[in-house]
Amino acid sequence: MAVNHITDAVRALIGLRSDWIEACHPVEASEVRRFFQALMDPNPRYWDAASPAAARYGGPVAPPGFAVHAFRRPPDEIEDPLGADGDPEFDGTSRLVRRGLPRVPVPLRGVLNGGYEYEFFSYPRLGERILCRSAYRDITQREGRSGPMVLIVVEDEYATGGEFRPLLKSVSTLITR
Amino acid sequence: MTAEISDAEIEKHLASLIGPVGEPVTALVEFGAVRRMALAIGDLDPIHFDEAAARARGYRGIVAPWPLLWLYFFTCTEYEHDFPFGRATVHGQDEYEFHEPMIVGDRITVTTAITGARLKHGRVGRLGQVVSERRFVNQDGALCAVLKTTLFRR
Amino acid sequence: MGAIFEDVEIGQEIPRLVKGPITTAHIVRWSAAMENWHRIHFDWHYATQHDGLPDVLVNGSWKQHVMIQLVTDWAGETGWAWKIAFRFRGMNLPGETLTAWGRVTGKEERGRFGVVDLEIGLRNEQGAEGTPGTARVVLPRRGGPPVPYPFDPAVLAG
Repeated sequence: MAVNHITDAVRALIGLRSDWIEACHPVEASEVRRFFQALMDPNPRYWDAASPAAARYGGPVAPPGFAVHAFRRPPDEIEDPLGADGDPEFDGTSRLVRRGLPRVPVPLRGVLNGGYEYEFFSYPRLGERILCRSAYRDITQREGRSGPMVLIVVEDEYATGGEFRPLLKSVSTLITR
Repeated sequence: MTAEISDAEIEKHLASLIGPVGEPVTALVEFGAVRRMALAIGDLDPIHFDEAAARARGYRGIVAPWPLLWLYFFTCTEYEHDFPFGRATVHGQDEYEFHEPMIVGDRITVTTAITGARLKHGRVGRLGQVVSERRFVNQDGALCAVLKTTLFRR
Repeated sequence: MGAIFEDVEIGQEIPRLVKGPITTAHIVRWSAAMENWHRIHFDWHYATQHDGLPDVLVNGSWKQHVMIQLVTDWAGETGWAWKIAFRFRGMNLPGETLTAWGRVTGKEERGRFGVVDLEIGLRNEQGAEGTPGTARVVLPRRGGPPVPYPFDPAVLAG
């Protein structure tokens, strides 16, 4: 192994769990509409308060995986995610893995999404707050064809409402290289 | 293609456009929509996300940046830019009137009409000029804004 | 109406979900809804010249929700799409039409409900499998109650 990216500082992050972080605002009808329209999923459970689905779930709900994308830039966050100041190399993505977790100090630029394992429990309704807490389950290095890759396995728990009703659990793998 | 159409026919078509467009549409001013617009135009004034800051400055609540009118422009009315002449429709100019601020939680009703349509003859040939007017009124009947948009057909 | 446990047979294919052809407009619409500004999804020059990709890419996040829709549609409002897992193995480009598919690989009675395992995937017209995965769905029994909502795996114990 030419370079070992799994330094003590990286190893210290394994097992670290964040506090509960709240999404930038409660679930809104128009963001749910944009989501299901872009997904091309016209299911009435996402918009029709008179549907049988709404009776089961207590009103129109956001799609099952919606919470995963609900943690967008809060309006008071000064740092502009597009603010690489004209850097032609900037790929438009933040290197922050999760809002509640510190960055993984690995000097690799490319990020690939390796995959997900989801476990679903309920849907968020319109107006409900979405919360998430995350943990680094594992960080390992592998030798790829084009050099070392660092695999970051992140575990997320999503919940909603005052009672922290579970929405879903996710285990995802990010590949940096 | 449409070169054969006469000026008189074009003028008749344009005249037929004048009048109301569709039914009035009502949209909720959402916090998230205000947030996206404020971030997109780089306006980090706290009146666009902090209710206490907005009230301290005399507003009823969190204030929508005026460019949010364009969200309702695009999501609230549909009308066909279908002209029997020319090749391209371009956005020419806008005029705004601002009145009562739009506040998160307001229900804004948008009423659209074509208020002007005429044929001009420019250096590059025939130019259709269509003015549409949108009036934005809140749930209390207060006029928030008037947006006049001119499209050119050439 | 969602699927009923007794009607499910191992090897059976569930209804497919076809999306496309996917254009750059579909990709930009999704990126905007997600507020995802990764340039490989909308900046052709960056995607091809800087990253050496064949074109801009269909978002992996969009593909994952298509897979979730496939399973959720089949479970209906009486069952529950409990677990879904997949890997992003292949890239998909504008112009492709994608078909999400699933096949039953196992079934088991659990308490008053049934648990069904599926193999799932997302294929393009050439048959290339870009997002292979698995799913586990909880279904009602014939004549039995719908799966309780919110879902709690404890209902499978008794």
